[in-house]
Amino acid sequence: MPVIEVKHLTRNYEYYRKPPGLSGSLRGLFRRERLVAEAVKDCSFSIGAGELVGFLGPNGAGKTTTLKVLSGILHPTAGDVRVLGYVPFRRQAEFQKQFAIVMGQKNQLWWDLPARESFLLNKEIYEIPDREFERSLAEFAELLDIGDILDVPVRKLSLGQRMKCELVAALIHRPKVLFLDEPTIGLDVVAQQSIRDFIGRYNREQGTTIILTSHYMEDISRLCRRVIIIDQGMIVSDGPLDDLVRRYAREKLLTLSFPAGTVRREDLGPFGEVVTATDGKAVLKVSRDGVKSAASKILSSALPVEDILISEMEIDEVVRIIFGRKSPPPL
Amino acid sequence: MGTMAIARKYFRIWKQLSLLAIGSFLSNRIDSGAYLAGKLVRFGFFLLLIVSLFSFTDTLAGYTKYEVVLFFLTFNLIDVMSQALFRGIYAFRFDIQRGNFDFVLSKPVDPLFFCLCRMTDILDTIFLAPIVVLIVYVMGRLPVPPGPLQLLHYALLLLAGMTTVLGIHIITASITIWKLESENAIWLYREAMTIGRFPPEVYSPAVRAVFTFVLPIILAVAFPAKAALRLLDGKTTLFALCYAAGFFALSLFLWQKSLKAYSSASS
Amino acid sequence: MRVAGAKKYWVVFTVSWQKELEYRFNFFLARLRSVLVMMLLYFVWVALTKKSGRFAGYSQAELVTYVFGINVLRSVIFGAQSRQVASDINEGMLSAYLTKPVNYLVRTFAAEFAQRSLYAAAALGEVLLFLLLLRADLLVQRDAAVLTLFALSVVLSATLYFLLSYSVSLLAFWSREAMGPKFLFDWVLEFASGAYFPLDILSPALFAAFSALPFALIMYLPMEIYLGRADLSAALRGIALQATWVLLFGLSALWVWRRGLRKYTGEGM
Repeated sequence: MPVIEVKHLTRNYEYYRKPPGLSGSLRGLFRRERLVAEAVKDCSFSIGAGELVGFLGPNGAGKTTTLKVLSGILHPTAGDVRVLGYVPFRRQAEFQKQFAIVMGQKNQLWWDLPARESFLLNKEIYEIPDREFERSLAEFAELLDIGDILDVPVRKLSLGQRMKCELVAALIHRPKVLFLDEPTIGLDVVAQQSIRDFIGRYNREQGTTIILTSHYMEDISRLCRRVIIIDQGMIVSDGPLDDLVRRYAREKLLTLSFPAGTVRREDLGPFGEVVTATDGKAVLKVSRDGVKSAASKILSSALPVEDILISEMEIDEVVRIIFGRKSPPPL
Repeated sequence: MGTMAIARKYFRIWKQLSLLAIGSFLSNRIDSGAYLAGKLVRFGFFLLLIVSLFSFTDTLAGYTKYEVVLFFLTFNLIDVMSQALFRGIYAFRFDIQRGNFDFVLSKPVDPLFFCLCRMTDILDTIFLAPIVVLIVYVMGRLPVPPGPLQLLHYALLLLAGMTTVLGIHIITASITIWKLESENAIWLYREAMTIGRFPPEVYSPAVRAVFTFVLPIILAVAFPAKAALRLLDGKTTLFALCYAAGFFALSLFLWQKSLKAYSSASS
Repeated sequence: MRVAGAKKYWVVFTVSWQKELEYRFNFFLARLRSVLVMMLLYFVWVALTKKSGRFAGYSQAELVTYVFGINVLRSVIFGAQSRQVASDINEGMLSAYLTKPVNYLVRTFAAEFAQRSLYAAAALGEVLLFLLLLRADLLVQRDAAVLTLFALSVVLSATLYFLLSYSVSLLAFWSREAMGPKFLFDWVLEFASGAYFPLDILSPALFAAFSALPFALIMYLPMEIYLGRADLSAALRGIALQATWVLLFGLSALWVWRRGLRKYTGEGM
């Protein structure tokens, strides 16, 4: 039985539009135009126990809204949602004790006080026995290497340290289901890496079911085998990461090595689209079907190629293709 | 879970929240100290105004000096207690905007309880001591000091007053949810509360009616003082108690409604 | 060049108006506060003057005029921009202004002026409405000389208040916690300026003490001039004092600003 089951979820919200300028403000004083937007449209998916699934999509695609519905913060406008067999928006305590949500841009920690104080509050809210609390805290503090900052006021912490503490606050009651909304946003590479490692390890060791949204492909490609792609409120694709590449990347990459100065960019033109050409190395983009013949043509040509490598396109670019706003290829 | 267990859990949460609030206030010493001093200045100046007025007159709206002061002190008693206990509502809009409220909704804790008590300001209760001392002193100086029965009457109506004020806090929180784009509605109450500093007989009947029945500030802060002065009959007492209960029930109903609206209207 | 320089502050002016309308609740709240205080004091004074028509040397009309006049003056003189100043400094928003060719003090004054004009219009409306509703007697000053002195003292009051509260807000350079001190300052000012009651109803000793402070020049002085209770020499003396304080606080605001900028770290949240 799946841990998370979503059937035909739709979620609308209202907003206002203000006409520009002073006259617009004056009119807005009395009347505001009400508009309805669909944040999530007829989405269905189900997630099994222990899965770590990535949610991918541009800003405003509906990722956060979906997570909020799954957390019981928002009611669905239509559709059926179950998490651990519970209907989230009923907000039953038994359910709430079994999951947690982390929002990268928001914090639940008390700003002026050390993180430990906020953990103690969660201890009372989740009714965690003293022993268990101490044990979990010690374990997480060690895994995340934050033992020495637990007694420093949160506002003095770096963003990375704060995020680690946010994670501890969310995990202190050992939830079975975890929603991570952009947990690495704005972090430096080192902090990103360490949080990513922690999430992967936690998922493996505890068997926690995790949904992760992130802007960083690195997070998704390192952690998630399965990826759900949302765009404009709709699920565009749902499946293993590899499938995604195969399905959407109509081209593969050919990487060629040759002695420096022997091959000019123009020489490669006939074989495919030249992505990069530097001294001794070039990358070509070739259609999936034509990649083998292109490779053999290059090898049988007069070009002094030393090595040739066929690979899939970078996941970043695949995603750009999916969202239909392909930016210029990397140089 | 049994009622006792729930009560114990909520007491522990309340205690931890209060500790957090105290820690937070102490870490902002200048702000907290200045706010406290500002409130003291306000209190002192109003008292000075009342005392100064009575150097030119013997009565104000039919009340003597100590009677008027009793109204003013009772107003302060309720104001300080509600400020201290339900302070969380003042941060409510901020909590919603910053997404803190979303965290609250995802946790096994009653969101109303949490939002009300989020910033319980135990430090503010420092004020309670001088207010209570002054009330005792002023009661002793009244032409007819209240007996045990009047004191009980006073306490009963204070309770009704606190319940009413709690209801007002809950209603404003509900309004804040509905009108997310507007400022925290609790400030409306805060401003209107100023009416309670003087005996209600000062105002015109229309103003009195509005602040007794619609926004029951007079009911909350002036009725207890009247009880201590033996000016509140049984019928009015009964009405005040029923009104307080009804008002509180209404506020809970509105809160439930607004909670539903929040989870179906925002994104 | 001068015109072009002034134009950007005109933009600040209109944008502030828009902001005010956008945050209509805050506007409404500020008006409500003012109206409630006006109502409270009106009823207190009427109750006190009911019997003899006079109280503490004031006629009923004078006291009512004092209360209504304060409602208008409050919106002309007490501004709210300095709160913005403190948060601009604390949240690091000030950096955005420092990098632009804008004089922050003038910018703040323009924003304040926009807000004041809107509030003053609302306050006048409220006073008219209440006059009709309560059928209250008002003292209308017709003496041109008195009115001129009154106008002069109001302009000086507004400037004085602005410089005072601006200086207090600049404390934010030294401490993240500037809101508490501002709260304390506001309440001291409310009473010590005479925005709640004419200061001379206090005992002579207290009245002398309050008169010695610059605060009394902000509300009490203009109202006494308007009511004709301050004679020509007293009015002129008061105005001269106001001018002196404006100069002093103007210099201190500049000095505090320069010192503060050296402390400014631009740290945000």
